[in-house]
Amino acid sequence: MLEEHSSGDAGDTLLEIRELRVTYSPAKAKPVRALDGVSLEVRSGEVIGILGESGCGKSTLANSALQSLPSNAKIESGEILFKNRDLLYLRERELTSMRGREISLIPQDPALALNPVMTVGAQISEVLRAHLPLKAGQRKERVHQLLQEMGFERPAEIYRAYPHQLSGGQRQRIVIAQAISCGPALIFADEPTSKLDALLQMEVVELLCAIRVRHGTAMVVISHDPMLLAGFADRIAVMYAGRIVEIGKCAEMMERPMHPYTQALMRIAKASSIAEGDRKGRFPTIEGEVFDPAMLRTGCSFEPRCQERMEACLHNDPPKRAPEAERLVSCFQYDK
Amino acid sequence: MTSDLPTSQQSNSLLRVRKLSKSYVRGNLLRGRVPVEAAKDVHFEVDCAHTLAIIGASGSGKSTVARCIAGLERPDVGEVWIDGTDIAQLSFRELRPFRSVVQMIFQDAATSMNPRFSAAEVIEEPLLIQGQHREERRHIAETLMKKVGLSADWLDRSAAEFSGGQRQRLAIARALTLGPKLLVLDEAWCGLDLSMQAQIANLLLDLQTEHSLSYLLISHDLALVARMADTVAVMSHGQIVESGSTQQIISGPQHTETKKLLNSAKAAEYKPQLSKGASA
Repeated sequence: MLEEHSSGDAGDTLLEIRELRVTYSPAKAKPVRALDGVSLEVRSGEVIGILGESGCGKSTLANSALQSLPSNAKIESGEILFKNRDLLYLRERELTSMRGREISLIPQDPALALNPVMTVGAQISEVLRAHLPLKAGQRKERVHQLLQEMGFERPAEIYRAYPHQLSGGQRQRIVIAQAISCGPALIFADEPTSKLDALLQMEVVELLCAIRVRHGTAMVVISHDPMLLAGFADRIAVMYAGRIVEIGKCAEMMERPMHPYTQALMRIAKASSIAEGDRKGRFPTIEGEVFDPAMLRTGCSFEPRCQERMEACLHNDPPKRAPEAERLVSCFQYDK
Repeated sequence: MTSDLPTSQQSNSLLRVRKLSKSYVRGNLLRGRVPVEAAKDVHFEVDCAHTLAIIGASGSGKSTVARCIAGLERPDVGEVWIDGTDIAQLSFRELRPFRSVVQMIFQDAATSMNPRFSAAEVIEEPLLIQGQHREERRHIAETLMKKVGLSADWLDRSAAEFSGGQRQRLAIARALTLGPKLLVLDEAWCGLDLSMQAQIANLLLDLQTEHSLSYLLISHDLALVARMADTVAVMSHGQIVESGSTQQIISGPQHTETKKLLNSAKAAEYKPQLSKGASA
């Protein structure tokens, strides 16, 4: 399936993250480990969905790969290989020339990401000027093309608009235009639809699908909603407390989740989707509080909330197992 | 089109809205300053211990209606009957007693409370305004914290230290301090992840049963509405275009806007065919 996306090199490893550990040291609090040994491979042209609750480390993962972590974060160990170069050893100048051109980010909140006193056209143009040797006229031409591709019917008017004059959905399309402007090989999208209503969410997902088909761009899409990723992602990685607890092909993860946490997430997602004969009544939930990364504990971090806990879960880290092809689960149930 | 929400008894309705209209003047990119009719001739009723959901796309006017009912905006024309009084044209001072009957919970709990306040100050502020004594205030705050599933030991933590879901629980606790009859929930779930949304929804359902609360639920999330609401009103361009029981709206939508909302909610669900199309 993957080989079909684009010609030649599709299916090769584009980004490989190995055993990444990231810790935040806030000024007045205990250090918090946000990523605890995360390994993830992104192949060319592939869409990977990262699923998890807030605070599980999804955004830290994206910011690590883009090397745009806040100053109180420290990468303790691990490797981030992009096209076989370890990003952790690149100089700032090399990183700057790569960000936006080879790897780009669609931020969570476009209202915050856009400069309120610059026209949106100039802001897209700015990305082009930083990376490509184009003349002013060519740049303007290219921005108009991009705006058209984003589905704006009157690109010239949008070019001159300021962010506050656009709706939330329009602003989202502007930051997507920025992200794809230099034709990157990989895009990170951090909750690209969390601020939008259901109608606009679908529009954005369709737009991302179209970009992926047209340009063969690989994407890492971060979300808390499995239904958003269904049918869009090729593979889904589920994160809990700074680790990837399960990874597998999208349809299989939806139909046969194996990790108890993934199973619980899918149950909630099913209840949160509309069905004939729905009646007023309580939702299924995952009881208990979200794991507090500041607390050190031994054993599986999902154990306190898990319905299927065993003796072993209390004392040891669950091992990674592959019960079937293209699937990895960290749970003692599959430890045979 | 007027609404004809099924109401068992006329006297049973806690909130009755008649011919409510509200317009704003707004800057427009292409045409300069233009008046926007945010709500136009809106009718509906909410029964005691029932939930009415107003659904609609962004900009359909649902939040405007919510703000008029919570007394945060004054409607241009129309009547808002709460518990037998029309509050639509009351003065600020006359409105004060009704503020305890109707409470609003906002989209973003983080920006709706003073981050430098402790949880206790957040919850006790309405009681302080009502002139309650310190011991009494503390006692109510402790009871409410437990009721919304937070530990009473956290009362002295600052509001900023709470996570998103916890802060939404805190907002619910604050809204309950004065014993309201109606809670206006304006996209109170936005920005929370699914399992947190489910927990908050369950909490609200339990509180409704326990205290016979009525809810006016503003949402674009139909799946949530299906499990929370008894009746649904669909808004489009400031007007209610369709209304009825939740069952009716979901199983037999009539208006194109309702169908559109329903389709997009369904399209957002598992769709293997799109995956194949995308990778071809």
